[in-house]
Amino acid sequence: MGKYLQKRIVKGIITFFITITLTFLIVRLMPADPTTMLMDNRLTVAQQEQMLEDFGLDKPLPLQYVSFLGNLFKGDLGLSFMQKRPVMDIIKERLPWTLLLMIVTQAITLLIGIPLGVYSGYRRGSKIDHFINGISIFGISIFVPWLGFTLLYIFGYQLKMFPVGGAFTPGIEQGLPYILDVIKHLVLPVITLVFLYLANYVLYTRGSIIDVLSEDYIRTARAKGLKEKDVLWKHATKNAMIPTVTSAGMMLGSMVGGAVLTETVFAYPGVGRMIYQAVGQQDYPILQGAFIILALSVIIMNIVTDILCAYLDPRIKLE
Amino acid sequence: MEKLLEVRGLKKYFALNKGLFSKGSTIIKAVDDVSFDLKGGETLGVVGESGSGKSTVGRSILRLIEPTAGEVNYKGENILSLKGESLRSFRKNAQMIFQDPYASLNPRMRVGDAIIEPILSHNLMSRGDAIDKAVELLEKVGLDKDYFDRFPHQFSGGQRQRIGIARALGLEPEVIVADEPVSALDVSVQAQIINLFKDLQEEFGFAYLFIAHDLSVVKYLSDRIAVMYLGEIVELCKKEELFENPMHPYTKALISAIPKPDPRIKEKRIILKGDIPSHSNPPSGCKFSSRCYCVMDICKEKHPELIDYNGHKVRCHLFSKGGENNGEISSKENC
Amino acid sequence: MSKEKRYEKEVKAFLSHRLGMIGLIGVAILILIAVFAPFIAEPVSGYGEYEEKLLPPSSKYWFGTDDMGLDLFSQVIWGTRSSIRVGIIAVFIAISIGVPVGLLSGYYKGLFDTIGMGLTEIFLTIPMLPLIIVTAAVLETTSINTVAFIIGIFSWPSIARITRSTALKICGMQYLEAAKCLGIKTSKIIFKHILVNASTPIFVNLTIIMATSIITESAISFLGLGDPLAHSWGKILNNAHLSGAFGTAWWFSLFPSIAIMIFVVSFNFLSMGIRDALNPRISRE
Repeated sequence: MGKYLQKRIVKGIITFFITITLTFLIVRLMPADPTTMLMDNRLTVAQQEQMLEDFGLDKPLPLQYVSFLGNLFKGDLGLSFMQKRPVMDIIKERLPWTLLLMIVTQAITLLIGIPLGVYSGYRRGSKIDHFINGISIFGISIFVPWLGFTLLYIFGYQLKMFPVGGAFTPGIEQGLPYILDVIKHLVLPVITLVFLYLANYVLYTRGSIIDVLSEDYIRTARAKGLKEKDVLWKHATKNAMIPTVTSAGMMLGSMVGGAVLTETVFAYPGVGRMIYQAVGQQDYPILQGAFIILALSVIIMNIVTDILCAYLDPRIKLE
Repeated sequence: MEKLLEVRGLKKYFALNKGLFSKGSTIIKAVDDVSFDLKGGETLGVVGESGSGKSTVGRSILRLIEPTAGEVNYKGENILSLKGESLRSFRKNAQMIFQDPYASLNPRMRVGDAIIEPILSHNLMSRGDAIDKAVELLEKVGLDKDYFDRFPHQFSGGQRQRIGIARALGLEPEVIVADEPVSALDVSVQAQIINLFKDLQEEFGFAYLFIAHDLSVVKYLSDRIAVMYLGEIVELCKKEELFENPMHPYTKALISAIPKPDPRIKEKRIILKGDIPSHSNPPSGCKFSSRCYCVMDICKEKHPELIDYNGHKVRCHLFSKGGENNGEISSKENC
Repeated sequence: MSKEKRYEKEVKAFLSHRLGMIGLIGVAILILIAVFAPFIAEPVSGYGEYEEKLLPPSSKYWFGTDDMGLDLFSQVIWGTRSSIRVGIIAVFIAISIGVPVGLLSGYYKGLFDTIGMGLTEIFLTIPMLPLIIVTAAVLETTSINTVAFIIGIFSWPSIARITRSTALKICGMQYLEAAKCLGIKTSKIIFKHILVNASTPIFVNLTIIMATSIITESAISFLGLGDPLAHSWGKILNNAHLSGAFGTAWWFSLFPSIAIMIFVVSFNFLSMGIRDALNPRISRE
C-alpha cells in the first residue's frame, strides 16, 4: 500500500509539473507579444515597469520559466490586473466555494447514481431501465447554463423557493442560520451539476453490474440460497462500484468545467465565476492562476479517489 | 541433401516478475539449448506436450520471437543477426502455417488480397501476375478460384487452413514451419490437410518443420522426429528408428499413447503420472525424473546430456556411460 | 457461428436499436440543415429594428427575436452550420493527433507507450474547459475555426486511448503475427491490418467527440470567448445572459438550448446504437 501511494503521488507531481509547464508555454508562446498582452494602459508607467519585473518578462524564456516555477512554489501567482492584489489571495477567497460545490455534487451524484445504475442493470431491458437510460442521456446532453437558467427562473424568480444567486446572504455570518443559508444557496447549483454528471455514474454502474451479475461467484451466492436482495446489494454492488469510483476520479476534470458554467449562471462566488469575470476583463494572471489551482485540486482529489479505489479493491495494492 | 537450417544452442528464457513482496524474478527456460539441422526437402517432426517449448522453437527460428541465445543459420547465414529490411526480405525464405486458422487470417481482408499482399510486399511480381498466381495457388491447395473475392468468415476451418497454406506458398519459401496446423481441425479434415502438405512438398520440394503434440500426426509426414520435454530435445532420430527402437522412456510413453488400428494388438499403454512440471520450478537433475517410471537415483542429481548413438540422439541416464544400455538396468517394465 | 451472420446481425441490431436510429435520423437532419441553411433562412447580423426586439415567437419570427431585434430562427439555423463545422474540424484534429499517438503506443510499445499514455492520462486528468478558456483568452482574436482547432487539440486523448487498446488487442492476434512472418511492410501492417480493424471503435469515439466539442464550443461562446462574427448557439445564450432577458424572454435561451440538446443527443444516441450493436451483451437480455 505504501509503495502504491508513493507511486501515485509521484505520478500526481509529474502531472502537475506538466500542467504548469503547459500553462506557461500557452501563455508565453502565443503569437501576441506578451509585453503588450500583460500591459494594461490603465496602469501607470511605474506600475508597468514593476509588472515587467514581477513577471521577469525582460529575461530570456528559460529564465522566465525558472522564475515562474520559483514564484509558483513560493505560492506567488502574480498580481491581478483589475484588483491589483496577489492572485493567490483572490483565489484563496474563491476556492473554498468551488470545492464545496464540487464535493457536495460528487457525493450526491455517487449516492444517487450507484443505486440507480445497479437497479437499472439488474432490471436490464425493463421499462424502468429504458427510462433511467433515457434520462441519463438527456442529462449528458443538456447544456448546463440553460438548465441553470431554467431552474433559476422557476425556483428562484417564480416560486421564490431559493435565492437567485450568490453563495450566502450578506449579514448572516455565523452559526446555524449561516449554515442553513449556505445550504439554501447551494441547492440549485448542485441540482444543476448533479443532473449533468449523474448519467456517467449511472451508465458506468449499470455496465459493470451487468458484467458482475454474470460472474460465477454471483451464481454461487445464489446457489448458496442467499436472499436475492443480499446478492444484488451486497455481493454484486460492492464489486460493481470499483469502476464507478475509478471513473469518478476521471470525471473531476470535466466537473470543474461544469462548475465554471454553473457558477457563472448562479453568480456563485467560486473560481469558475472568477474565470468568467477575468475573461471579460482580460485579466490573464487570474486566468492562469485559476487554471493552475484548479488543476492542482483535481490532481489531489484524483489521488484521494485512487486511494479509495485501492481500499475497495485489494487487487490494486498488489500491482 | 544440403543443410538448409542449422540451429545451434537455441535458448529462450523469460523473466517472470513476481509480486511486490518478493524481490527478483524467476527465469523461465522455455527453450534450453536446442540444436538440430534441417535439410532441403526434408520433414522434421517436433513433438511434445504443451509447454515443451516446441512452438517457441518454431517461432524463434522465424524471428517471430527473439531467442535469448544461440544461432540459426540459413544456408550459412546467421539470421539472428538480421535487422530491419534484410530481416524482412529473409522472411520470404521461411514461412509459417499457424495453428488456429480462424485467428491467422485478417477478418477484414479478402482471401485474394491476403494471398497477394505478401507477394507485392516483397516486390516479387506485378499486381496482375500476383493475381494470376493467387488464383493458381488457390487451385493448388484445393480451393475454387471463385473464392478469391470472399472474406475468411465464409470458410470452414479446413478451408481457411488451405488459404493460409496458399498465402505462405506465394512467397515460394524453402522452409515451412507448421505449428500444429491440424490440431484445431475436425479429425475428418486433418487427414486431408496432412495429405495436402505431403503433395505440396513433393511438388515444390520445400522442407517442413512440423510441430505437433502427438506422434500420430507427424508419423505419416516426417523423415526425422525430435521429441521435446520442458524446453529440451530428449530424443532425435529417423522416424523408422524412433518407432522401432525408442530409447527415452518419455518417447515410449508417447508411442504407447497412439491409438492402434488393430484392436487385437494388446500393448499396454504407459500412463505417465502427474502433469508436466512448472517451468519456473523444474525437477533437479533430469527434467523428466518427476514423471519417469524408470527413475534412478542419478536422475534426480545429474542432468543428462544429449548423446549420439550412430545418429540416434537421446538424453537419458539409462544410456549414459557410453554405448549400450549399460547404466544400471532397471528391473521395471518397459525400461 | 459464421462471421458473415455476425456482421448481418450487427447491422440488424443497429437498425432495430430505437435510440440508435433516432440518433442517425437526427444527425442526418442536422447535416441537411447545415448544408441547406441559405435556403432555409436569411442570415442576420448587426442591429435589427428597435421596436422588434425581444418579440415572442410568431408566424413571422418562429423562434422570436433577440435583444437586438434579430430573428432567432435564422440564428439557430445558421448556428447548426457553425456547430457541424466546429465538430468536423475538432474531430479531424483529434484524429490526426490521437490516432498516431495510439498507434505508436500500441504497436511499438516500450518508451512510446510510456510517454504516449502518460501524456494521455495527464490530458484526461486536468480540467480541460479552463485550459481551453485560458488558451482562447490569450489568443485574443478567435475565429470559429480557431475555437474548433483548440477544442480538437484538447480532444485527442480519448482517441489515442481507444486506438491504443485496439492496436494492443490486434497485436495479440495471430493474423498480425502471420503478417509479420510474411514480411509485410510495417506501414502496410499498421494501415491495412491495425487501422482497418480499429476503425469501428474509433468511429464510435468520434461521434462522442462531435457531441462534446459542441458543448465545449457553446460553453466558450457562452463565456464570451467565441467568434464574435459567427452564428453560434452558445453566443445566443451569451447574449441572453448579458441582456438579462432570460427571465422575461424565455424563447431567447430556450431555442438555442434545444438545438444544442438535439445535436448532442443525436450524436450520443448514434454512438450508443453502434456500440450496443457491436456489444449486445450490455444492452439486451
